Amino acid sequence: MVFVAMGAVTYLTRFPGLWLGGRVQFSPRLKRGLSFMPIGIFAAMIVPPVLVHTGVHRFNLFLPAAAVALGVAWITKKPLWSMLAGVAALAGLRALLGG
Amino acid sequence: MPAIKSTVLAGLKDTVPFSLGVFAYGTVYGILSRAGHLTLAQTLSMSVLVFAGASQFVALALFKQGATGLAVVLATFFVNLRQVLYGLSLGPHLKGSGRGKLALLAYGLTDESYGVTMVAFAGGRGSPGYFLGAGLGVFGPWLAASLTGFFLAAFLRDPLRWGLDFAFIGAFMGLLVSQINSRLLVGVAVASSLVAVGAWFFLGSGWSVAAGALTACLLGVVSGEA
Repeated sequence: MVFVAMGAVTYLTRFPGLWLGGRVQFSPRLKRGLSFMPIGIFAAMIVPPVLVHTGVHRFNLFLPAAAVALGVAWITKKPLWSMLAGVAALAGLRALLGG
Repeated sequence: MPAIKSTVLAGLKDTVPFSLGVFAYGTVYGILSRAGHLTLAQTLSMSVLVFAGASQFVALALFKQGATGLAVVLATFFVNLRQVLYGLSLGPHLKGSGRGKLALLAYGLTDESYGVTMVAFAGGRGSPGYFLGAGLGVFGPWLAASLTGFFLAAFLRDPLRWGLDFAFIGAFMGLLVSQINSRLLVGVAVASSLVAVGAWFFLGSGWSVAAGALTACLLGVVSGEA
C-alpha cells in the first residue's frame, strides 16, 4: 500500500511536468530554486544519518568513512567511487577494531 | 515500423554506460532491502511501482527508523521532485506525442534517461522512441539488479560487516559533489545540512529530507537575480 502511494507521487513528478513542459513558463527565480533542490536533498540524506550513527564502538565510525568518501567524491565526482570508498573504509575500520 | 525500432535501439545503446552503474546501484538496493527484512515480492514491487533509486534507498532507511507511511510517501515526493524540472525541459521536445503515449513515456523518466535523451536532442538524434529506449536501458538493469541483490544478500552473513550500511550515504556524496560548482552552492549544501539536522531532531527523522530540499529551493529563489 505504501509502495502504491510512493509510485503515485513519483509518477506525479514525472507525467505532469513532461506534459506541461513548454506550455507553462516558470519564473527564472523559481526555476533556479527548483534546480537547487537536489543539493538540499542530497545534503539531508548524508549529514544527519552520519552524525547520529551509533554502532558497537565508542566512536562513530561513519565520521571517518564519510571523510574518505567525501575526499573520493571530490576527486572523482562519481557516486560509484565515493560509495565504494566509503564502504571499504567502514569495512576496513570494522575489521581493524573488531565487532 | 523499423524506424521506431532503430530509434529505441539507439536510445538503449547510448544508455549502456549508465546501465552498468544502475545495475551496481540496484544490487546494493536489493541487498539493503533484504537486510531491512523486506520480502522478495516487496523488494521487486517497490522497484516496479516506484522505479526511482534514491527514493527507494530513502524509503528503506526510513522503514528502518520506524517512520510512518505518510513520512515515507512525503520523503519520496520531495526526493523525486527534481524530475518535474526534467519533465519541463524535456517536454517541449516530445510535444508531438499524444497524451496517452506521453503518459507511458513518463514512467521511464529518470536522472539517466533524461540526461542521455537531452544530449541526443541537442545533437539532433532525439525522438520519443529514443527516450523509450533510454528508459528501458535503466528499467531493465534496475529490476534485474534488485533481484540479484536480494539473492546475493543471502550469501553475505552480515551485510553490515561489509560496510554496506554506508553505501547509499557514500553514493549520495558523489551525486552531491557532482552538483556543486560554485561557492554559493557550497553554502547552500552547508545551510541545507544544518536545517536538515535541526528538522531531524525537532520534527523527526522523516522530515529532514523535505526540510533540506525546501531550504535549498528557498536559497535558490532569494539568491536569484530579479
